[in-house]
Order: sequence, then C-alpha cells, then structure tokens
Amino acid sequence: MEFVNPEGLRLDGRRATEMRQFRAEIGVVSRADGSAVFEMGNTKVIAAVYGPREVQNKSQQINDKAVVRCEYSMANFSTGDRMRKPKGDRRSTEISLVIRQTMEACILTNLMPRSQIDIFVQVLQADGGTRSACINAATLALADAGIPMRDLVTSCSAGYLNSTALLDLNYVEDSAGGPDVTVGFLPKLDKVTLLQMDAKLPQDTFKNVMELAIEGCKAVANYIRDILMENTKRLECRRGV
Amino acid sequence: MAVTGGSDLSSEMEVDAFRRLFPLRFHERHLLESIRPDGRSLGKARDTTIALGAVTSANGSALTKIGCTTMLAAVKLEVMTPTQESPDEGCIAVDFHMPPICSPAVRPGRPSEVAPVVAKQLSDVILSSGMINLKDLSLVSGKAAWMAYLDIYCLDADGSLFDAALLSAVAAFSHLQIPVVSLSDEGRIVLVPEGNGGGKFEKEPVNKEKRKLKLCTLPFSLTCALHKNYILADPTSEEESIMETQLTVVLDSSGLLVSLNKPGGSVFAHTSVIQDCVALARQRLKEVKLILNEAISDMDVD
Amino acid sequence: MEEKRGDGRNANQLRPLACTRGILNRSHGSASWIQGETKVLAAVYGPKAGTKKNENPEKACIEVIWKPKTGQTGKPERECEMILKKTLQSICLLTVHPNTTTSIIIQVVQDDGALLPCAINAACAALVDAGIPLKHLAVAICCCLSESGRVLLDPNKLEEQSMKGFVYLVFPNSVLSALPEGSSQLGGPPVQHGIITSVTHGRMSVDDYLLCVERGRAATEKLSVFLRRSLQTQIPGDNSKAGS
Repeated sequence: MEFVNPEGLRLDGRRATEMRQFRAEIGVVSRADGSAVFEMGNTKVIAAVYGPREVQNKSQQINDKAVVRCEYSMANFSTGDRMRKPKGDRRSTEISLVIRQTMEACILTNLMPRSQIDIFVQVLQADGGTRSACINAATLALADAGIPMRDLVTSCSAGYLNSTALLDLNYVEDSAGGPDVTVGFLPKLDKVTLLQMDAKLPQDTFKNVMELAIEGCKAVANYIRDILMENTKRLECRRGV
Repeated sequence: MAVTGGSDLSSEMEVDAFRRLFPLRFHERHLLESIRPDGRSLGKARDTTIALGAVTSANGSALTKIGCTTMLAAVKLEVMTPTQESPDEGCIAVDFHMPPICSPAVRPGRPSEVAPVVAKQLSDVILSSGMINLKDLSLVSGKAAWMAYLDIYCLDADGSLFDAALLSAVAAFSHLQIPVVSLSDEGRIVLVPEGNGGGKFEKEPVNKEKRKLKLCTLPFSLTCALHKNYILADPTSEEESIMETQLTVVLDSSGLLVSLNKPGGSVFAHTSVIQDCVALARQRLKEVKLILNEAISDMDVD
Repeated sequence: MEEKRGDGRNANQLRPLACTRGILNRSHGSASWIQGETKVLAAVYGPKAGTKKNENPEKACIEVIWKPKTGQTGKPERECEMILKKTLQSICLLTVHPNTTTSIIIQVVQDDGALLPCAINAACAALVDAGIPLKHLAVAICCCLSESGRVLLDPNKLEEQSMKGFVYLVFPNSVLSALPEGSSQLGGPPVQHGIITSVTHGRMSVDDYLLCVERGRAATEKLSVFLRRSLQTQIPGDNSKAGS
C-alpha cells in the first residue's frame, strides 16, 4: 500500500514531517484537582489528576515520597469497532504502566511524602498516537493541579513507511505494520525519558526517526507552554494582580 | 481566644471555612433567603448545553453539560440476528460508565455503586417511554436488525447525573445517522461505502429511506432535592450530599409521566410536593426541548 | 362492581399475607414475608463494628445484599439494593449506633410480582426482629395501572407484565408517640400520607399516578395492621413495642 504519494503527501494530506492539529484545554473537570483535554487530529483524550491526597491503601505508602498511580482506559465507542471490554486488558495495563513511569520520572515525588497522586486518562476517540496524547494530556493535568515537576514531559510518535520517516502516525499508518517509535522528552533538560519501538529498523534510520519524533515533542512542548501561559494569565487576571 | 458559641464563631469565620465545616447551616442560611450558593433561585436549573456529533467514531453522539456535570453519549450500530420471539425488532443496549476521572469519590478498582443503578434506570426509561419503536431498527425481517449500543460516559460528576445522562442519550439518538447497507449475494449485510453515488453500486440498499431514526416522543427529566419544605431543582453534588432526599420526575414531550423515582430519604413526599416537582419538571421540559431543537437545527445548517 | 381479575380477586383486594419472624437462628433478626406466591426472606446481621469502607463516625451504616433466586447479581439487583438501602436508612435511627454496620440480606425465594415491596416489608419485619432502633415502620405496596385506567393493588407477575404501568410505593406507618397529641407535628398533612419511596414503570398521566398513590395509601392501612399484629403476637410478654 502507498502511504506517501509521489508528491510527498500522506493519506490524510499531510507532509511527511507535518503533525496533526493539536487542541488542548485545561480545567475541564470541575471536581478534579487538575484536568485537561488533549486532541491530536482525531485522537481525543481527557486526563484528570487527583492529589496529592491521603494514600488509599496504607500498605502502599512510601515514607519519603509520593505514590503515583495511573489508570488508562478507552471508551468503548472510541475505536472503529465497538470494544467489548475496554478496561483491564493487557494493552491498557501496559499503557498505564508506561504513562505512570514517564510521569513519575518528572514529578518531584520527594516533596510530597506519604501521599498519593492519581492520574486518570480516558481515551474518547482513538486514531493512532493515543500513548503520546495521553502523556501530553497528563502533563497538562498535572501542571493544572500545581504538582511540582522537573520539566513538562511531552510525547510524540514517528514511523518509517515507504522509506520515508513520518511524524505523528494516525491509525491507518500505525496499523500498517511498520516501525513505530514513541518518544517522551523533557524539553528543558533536553533529555529523553521514554523510548519505545516495535518492528525492525536499521540503526542509522532509527536515529533519523527518533530525531524526528524529538522535533515533534518540542513542537508539542511549545504549544503546551503557550496553553499554560494563557491559563496562568487568565488566573492572574481573575485574581486582579 | 475563647470560643463563645456556634453563632459567634460563624460570624468570625471566613465564608469558605464556614461552608466546609458547617455545610448544612451554610445551605440553610441561603435557603432562608430563597437563593442558592451559586446564585440560582430554588426552582432554577443550571445552564445547559448540547453539542451533537462530538465523537466521530460513532454513528450518533452528543456531549451534554448541565452546569459542570458533563456527559458524553455515543450510539454505535451493529447488525445482529433478531430473536425468534420478535423477528422484526432491533435491540437497544444501554450502559452508563463512571470512569475515575469524573469525581474524587470514584476510586479505580472499586466499581462505582451509582453507575449500574443509573444504567438500569436509563434503560428502563428509554425502553418504557416508547421513544424508539424497536421495529424501526429492523432491516430484513427475521434475518437482520440493528443492535444499538448506547454508551454514556460521565466525564464530570457534579450532581443530577441521571438528568444529564438522559439528556445526552436523547440527544445522541436524535443525532444518529443510520449507515446505508445492502444485502449481498450470500444473504449477508454489507455496508455501502459513503459517497457512493446511487447507480454505481450493483446492490440496492435495504434502508435507503431510513437514514434517521424516528423518535416518537422524547423523555426529559428533572431531579429535585427535598429539604424540609424547600424544593431545589437540579442539585449540585454538594447539595446532593447535604440534602439526602431526591426526587426525579421524567416526563415525555406529550406531558405523560414516564417515571417518578424517589429512593427513600428523610423527607416524605406529600401530594403537594409531588405536584410542585411535576410542575417544575414541566417548565424544565420546555427549556430543554428548546435547547435540543436549537442544537439539532445548528447541526442541519452545517 | 367491576370485573374480577385473573386470579378471582377484585381490584382492591390484596393477596393472602403471611409473615414469620425469627426463622433463622444464626442471624440477629430474620423474617419471611409472603404475598400470594411471592416469597422473600430477610436476615439482619448487626449492628457490628464498622468495616473500614463504610465507617462513619456520626452515623450507623446500612448495607443491603440482594440475592436473586437464580443467577448472579446484575444491574436490576443493584438497583433494588440501592432503593432498599435508602428506604431503610430513612426509617432507622442511625445516630444511636454510630460507627457500626448493619447488614440486611434479602433472599428471593419466589417472585410472582410486587417483589420489591415484598422485600421492603420483609426487611422491615427483620429489623424489628433484630431490635434495631427505628423511627417508625414502613409499609410497601405495588399498584398496577390497566389500559382503561383501573388501579389494581398487589398485582402478580402476569398482571405486572401485561399492564400499562405499575408503581411501587412505600409509606411510613403512623407514629404512636408517647408525647402529647400534636406536639410532634407542626400542622400540615399527617406523616403517614407522605411517600418514602416511589418507583414507577411505564407511561401514565400524572393524575393516574396520584390515583395510585391514593389507593395505595388506603391499602397500607390494612397492611400496617397486619404487620403490627404479626410483630406483636410472636413476642409474648413484650409490651414495649409501639402499637401495644
């Protein structure tokens, strides 16, 4: 199948290094401590953060840092075919773990000992790149909740199809069976915290694809920063500072 | 400083602290003035918005907000073989989900107590209101019919969940676009791809005219919290937690009572209270119908 | 005056009632309640030390477990549990035993219509048997509405399914207070005219609903007399109960 036509356009009309449209909104869940919606094209994710709060299960309490927990689930109308059991399958357990580890790495957990931070992400529409969208939404929600973080971790995926490196794969490109590289990136520290890839890729091409994904992360980071700045200004305005 | 007594304490305290420490007295003080903490009068519902077509991966969907309470409903259609007893009827399956994002009270791993109850009540109301004639969901008698899966996700739980869920369900069904299907040679139902201009396709579609579901009558509901002699329409979750008695009235667009649900509570509903609640629900029905019609006509313009 | 119903009763006639208390010796209180062919068993355990989940330092916690006749607990059972729990919460004096949990287990033995009202009556009798402090008793009844607008009381399963709609109603039993007449009430309609719980099924006009309420209220007189009598006869020498 042809994923990139001779003019260099992809199936949805994007160029190889073009991302989909983002849209983000902060403070969408009134009763959460922090929440955000993040959209990347047709992928739409909502995240909510509760905490730092009392540890629910006392045996999990850690005396010198906070416990971070994460739950990922998909709405059963989010994919093409209706899902029977949208929760508790191996895929969502894996993604929950990936998100948790990524977020835990950038939260300053040692500042909130003996407490618990819950991150919940719900996929409302899935069109490829849910993993990245979830991480971006979770970052925004954590920032909205005012949880101290080292940096704003952002994520983006890239792939390699028809001997072209493609940024931000959608569902059709993702399910083509080619390599899919997901990167989680700390823009200020210029460090990679998450790197996942399936399928095979020659080493030198891999480097290019990863570089591309990192560029994507930077673009997301700029956008997220703008959103947060705007939100802060609004808050400032409301306080009358 | 010595604490001299409850009333003196309250005058010195900040409003926020008073609200948290003495929620009942805080609300009763408001009720005396016939106003609620969010500035509404007792019988007024919160601002309501409906956005149709919020989920592109579903056949019909709606995002509904009543104040902060947010519901996302989506209908997905699948072809099924009808049962022997009712060969020319389709089926509707209703489910209501409360993922842990919606409220600090819902913890993962522990299924919410409210969700299955709301799901059951929604399914009862939708089926018994006669809103959808199940025969309209039939494709080929005895062979194929639509199975409509309605899934409602609560994204933000701030009181009156049933009202918001029912409204989003009704809106999702009014937005439902039934895909065109045709009967293949092997007698199986296949989807006719979108944008296939009539004559090109060799098989005649089975349901060319029935792209929209005919909704006979629309049910709308209003939940009221009862406290002493006060009736508060559309309570928030804070009000619900303080005033334990709730009464939900569901009326359909012709004014018939579809459900009147009052599960216990310390306030007893006398006939006059029931009549007052029904009157409030009637008024609310008119408002909501207008909002829904506006949303539908906005959609048609697009 | 009107045509008879399928089982030969007239519209306002209830099915034969039977109530036995203390049938389970391991539970703190138990009762079986029979209305015609519908039979429900209720057992009460408690008040016992509150489990961590339900603990409330100010109030007692009530927990209801509904066991269907066959199969697993699904959504309809969860709904019954919730309605029963909220109904019982409103008749119990929860502040007497703070920090405790009282469990009520309902076992459906036979379902032939009016199941939830039957379970509420059984639970109420079992709570009395267990000596849980109550504000007052509650009596539940099912009213069925026919296509012609006739109200039939206490329908069986066949009537429930074939009729236009039905209403489950729970009324408080009048309080026989030791306080002087009128001191507990500040005007308004008498307490026993208020509805504790209402659940409806099917479409009906508001007037039809109010008619059901009126008929149901009239019939609860009979039910409460029966309930009180069956609560008294089984405790010889116990005169402390209300209604003696």
